[in-house]
Parts: sequence; C-alpha cells; structure tokens
Amino acid sequence: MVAVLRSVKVTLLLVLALLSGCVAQHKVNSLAESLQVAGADSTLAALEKINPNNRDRAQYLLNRGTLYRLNGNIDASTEDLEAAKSIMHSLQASSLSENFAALTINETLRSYAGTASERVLVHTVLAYNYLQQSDLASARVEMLQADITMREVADGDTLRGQLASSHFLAGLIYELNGEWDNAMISYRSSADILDQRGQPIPDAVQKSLLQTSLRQGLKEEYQRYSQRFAKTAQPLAQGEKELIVFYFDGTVSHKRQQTLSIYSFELKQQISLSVPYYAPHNSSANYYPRPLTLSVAGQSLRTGLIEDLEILARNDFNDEIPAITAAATARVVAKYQLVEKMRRERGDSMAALLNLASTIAEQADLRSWNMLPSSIQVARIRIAADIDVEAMDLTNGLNASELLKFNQGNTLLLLANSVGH
Amino acid sequence: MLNRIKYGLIIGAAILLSACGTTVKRIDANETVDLSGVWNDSDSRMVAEEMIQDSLSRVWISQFTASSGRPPAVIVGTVRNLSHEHINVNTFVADMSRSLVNSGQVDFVASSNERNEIREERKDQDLNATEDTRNAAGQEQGADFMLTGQINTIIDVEGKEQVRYYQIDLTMVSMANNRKVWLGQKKIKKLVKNGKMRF
Repeated sequence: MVAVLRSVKVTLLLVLALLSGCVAQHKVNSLAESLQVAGADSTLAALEKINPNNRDRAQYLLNRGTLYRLNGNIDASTEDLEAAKSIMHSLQASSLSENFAALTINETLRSYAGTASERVLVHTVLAYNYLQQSDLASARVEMLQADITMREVADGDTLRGQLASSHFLAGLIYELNGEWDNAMISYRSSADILDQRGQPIPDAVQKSLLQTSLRQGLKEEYQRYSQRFAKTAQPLAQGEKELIVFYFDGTVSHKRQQTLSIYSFELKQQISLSVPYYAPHNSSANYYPRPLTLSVAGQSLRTGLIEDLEILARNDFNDEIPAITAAATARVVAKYQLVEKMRRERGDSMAALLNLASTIAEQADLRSWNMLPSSIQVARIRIAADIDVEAMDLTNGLNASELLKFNQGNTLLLLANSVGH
Repeated sequence: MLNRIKYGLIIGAAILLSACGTTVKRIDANETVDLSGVWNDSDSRMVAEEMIQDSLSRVWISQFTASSGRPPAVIVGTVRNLSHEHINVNTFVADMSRSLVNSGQVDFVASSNERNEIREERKDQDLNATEDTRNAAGQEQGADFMLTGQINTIIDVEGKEQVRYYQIDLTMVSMANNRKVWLGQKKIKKLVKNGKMRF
C-alpha cells in the first residue's frame, strides 16, 4: 500500500512538472493574442513573470527580445536576440535524450530551436536593431549570416526558409555601404523569391531593381524591369533624398492543440494523441495585411506586402508535419506498451494510474516565436531637395523609431510597428 | 539485486550531475582554443603579429629612414570588418599597435579619438597646470604613414560542414602622396564540422 502511494505521488509530481511547461506556453500564446490591444509594455511585464525552463529558453528570449524592441529598449532587445541566436545555433544537432523523451512522453521535451524561417528572421530583426543603433557594419554582418542560414535551411527546397524581406533589407544595407553589386544581387534574390511564390512584387522592390540596375549600367536588365513594371528610374537629383519604410503589421498567429482521445475496451486503455495545428489561413481568424499610409511632403506613401509571416509559419509547420506525425504514432505505441508492462508487473490499478498520467502528459508542442508581426511591408519614396526633412513628423501616431539618417542624411529609414507601447 | 540497481542508479546520477556543473580552468592567454570555428583571440593575435612583422621587414622603412634621417611615424586608421561575423576589430587594431610600438622601428602616433582626448587635456593644462609642467599646443608629431585594412570572409556551407575562409588585407599608405608602400595579406582557412548528434 505504501509502495502504491509512493508511486502515485511520483507520478503526480512528474505530470505536474510536465504540465507547468504547457501552462506557461498557453500563457505566452495568450499574451501574443492580446499584444495588439494590450501593447508592448504590459505584455513584456507579463512575460517577464514567466520563468522558462531551459528547453524553452530560446523561444522566451526571442519573444522578450521582440517586446523590448517594440517598447524601444533596443540594447536589451539585441542582447536577448543574440543570446537566442546562439542557443538556436547550438541546438541544430539532434539530441538523443530529447528524441527519446519526445517519443515516449511528449514533443515539448525537445529544446526549442526555431523553425527555418525563424532562424533567418532572428538575423533580420537583429539587423533592424543594429540599424536603429546606427551600427551599419553589424547590420551588414547579420545580413551575411542570414544569407548563410538561408543556404543551410534550404535543403534542396528553393523556398524553405527563404525570405524576400531579408534579401531586400540586405540590398538596402549594401546600398548604404556603397556596395552596389551586392545590392543588385540581393534585390534580384528578393524578386526571385516573390516570383516563385507567385506574390506581386511591391513597389519598393520594383524601384530598387530599376534604380540599382540603372546605376550599374545594366541596360538590358533595366529595360526588362522597366517594361515589366511599367516604370522608369532617374538618378537622384542634387539634394534629393529617399525615404525607405519598413512596416510591421499585426501579431503572427500561434499553433493550437488538437487531441484525439478514446477509451479502448479491448485494450483496456485510454489512447490519446495530441498534435499541433494552425488555423487555416483563410479561416475566420484570417489575417489581411493592412498597409500603412503616410503623407510625405504632399505625396501619399502606401506600404506594400513583402513578407506574409502567417504563410511562412504555416509553410514551416507543413514541413514539420511528417516528423510530428511519425513521433506521435511512435509515442502512442510506446505508451501502450509501457502501460501493458505495468499491468503485467504491478497489476491493473498501477496500469490505470500510468495510463492516466500518460494521457495527461500527452501535450502538443505549441511553441513558436509568437511576438513576430503578421506581415512585413515596405515602401520607397523620393523627397524633393527643397523639403525640410527635419520639419516632417512621420512618426506621429505610430510606434516607430525616430527617422534614421544614413548616407549623409540622403537616405532616410523609418521602422514602424502596428503594435503600440 | 535491488541494492546493485540502487548503487548503479546513484553512480549514474552522480556522473550525470557532474556534467551539469560549471567548471573554470585558467589557461595561458597565448594558448589556441578553437571552440566554434569563428574568428577568435588567437586569430587576432597571430594575424596582427605576422602581418606587422612582414610590414617591418620590407624596404619602405629603410627607404624612409634613409631619406628623412628618422624612423617613420605610423598611425593605424580604420580596419573594416566586412566578414560574416561580429568581430571586435578593436582587439585586432590593439594587437597591431602593440606589435608596431614594440618593434622600435617606427614611431607610433595616437589615433584620432585618442588625440582629441589628449588635446582636451592639453587645453585643461593650459588653464590649470603650472607653466613648467604645461605642454604647449601645436607640437604634435604628424604621421608619415597610415595603416588601413579590411577583413573579408567567404563561407561555404554543405549540411553540417563549413569552410570558413578569412582574408585580411592591410595597406600602408604614405600621408605625403597617397602612395601605397606596403600591401599585406594573410589568409586563414578553417574546416568546421558541426556535430549531428548531442546527448
């Protein structure tokens, strides 16, 4: 009797320990859902009350780093995102113990290493941070690292983890460094990805391709773009400036849990299976990118979609489904055999207890980089030489960095979010 | 039997826990330890020493000394990091400066930032120091040559393997006529194999 009670206690403690991680994940998902309304400051305060376990450390740092960024603490954001990047890199090797735990208990026992797109996005977001810190050299380093990561994650798939927005940002950073050849290559890569996705090429990418090909004397390529986009480009006039806008809209949706649980009278066991899923992109929870419209020196500026992170998240998840399904199937078999072994060795009551514990412990892995925006949008516009840039207040009513100035003040950069403080 | 299992579990747990604790071991600052394959202190130190040694063994020093009757004054300018890594260029510049100064073959002039700080101090001396300890403005030694450079990388990736190629280019330019008197180049190639499995 004492042995049975001790086993019950141990089992309950184990289940409670496992569930505490799942409760924290549901809390994070809930915080992400309310981010648009609650704002970054209160969401950050709530997130900081969560004490993540080591397995969820990278996800926690990604989320906290994003919230720091949204509330303007760029130094803290950079520190968190660099730490997350380092953890994600170290977790690329497959873990024997974590695989065993995932195949026998649940998927949340794996350390969070990020999806293919998230591994690229961490470099991109860091590059935004470095630009806000006027550290162009470090932003350039991040873009080079993003390029390597994109090559690593592609794995024969031309679109897996390939981000048009990352290439566009790289092109801009090369431009700011006066590396026009590299800028041209990055803009081309951005357009190639958009073409392969069948996504319209936003006006900012069109202008970048036209201007850079014209500047580099790539006549045939310029003509081709000019015909395709029905636009021409002119070199910048003396004193003329350019404004480039990155707009981060919405908060990306998170995974949900789907559980199949049936009692088999034949096997005398409760069979449970939990798998994650994303609400379909065209469901009621659908996201429609909302462009940012600004009036800039009498011109109307409207951002265009370059990255739909809702689609990227679902594409990454679809790539993972075969492995998740295989692991879930193996887990059902392993749990069934463990319960049967317990029945043979310790009797029906202990088997029932283990069955209950394994059913409760069956939790889907719902972790993701929750605080990312739903979409990244871009715009590029020229500002006449006689316009006083200092007098313009583009950040009015927006959660945006101050207008960043590069290239002796000739290139202006605005990074704006739909999420407020 | 039960006791054996218990002892086995205790020993196993002890082995596992011993792997979890933090350990610190002091090592020689000149010892090369490659952990991740990225640019590290050893690369910085070795590249700086080798390149400066190469620079000091070339004819531009003897030519300048013969024509002017004094050793050349050198200043280290910008070393650009165009690599794939966040490299602390300051340590590399400091390593080069140390090698240059310690060689005794060249005079070394303070950098632009350092000069500004010293000028501020000199202004302060002008107001507050006694006349016999005051240093006058306008007595600075101008540099004859400026050392500039850049660090470039090419990374080739295939699965869990990477070839990391670093090329460091340094240029010594005459301040008098922009003539390049020395071009130095150092290449480092590393094969990094990341583990496919971990515990």
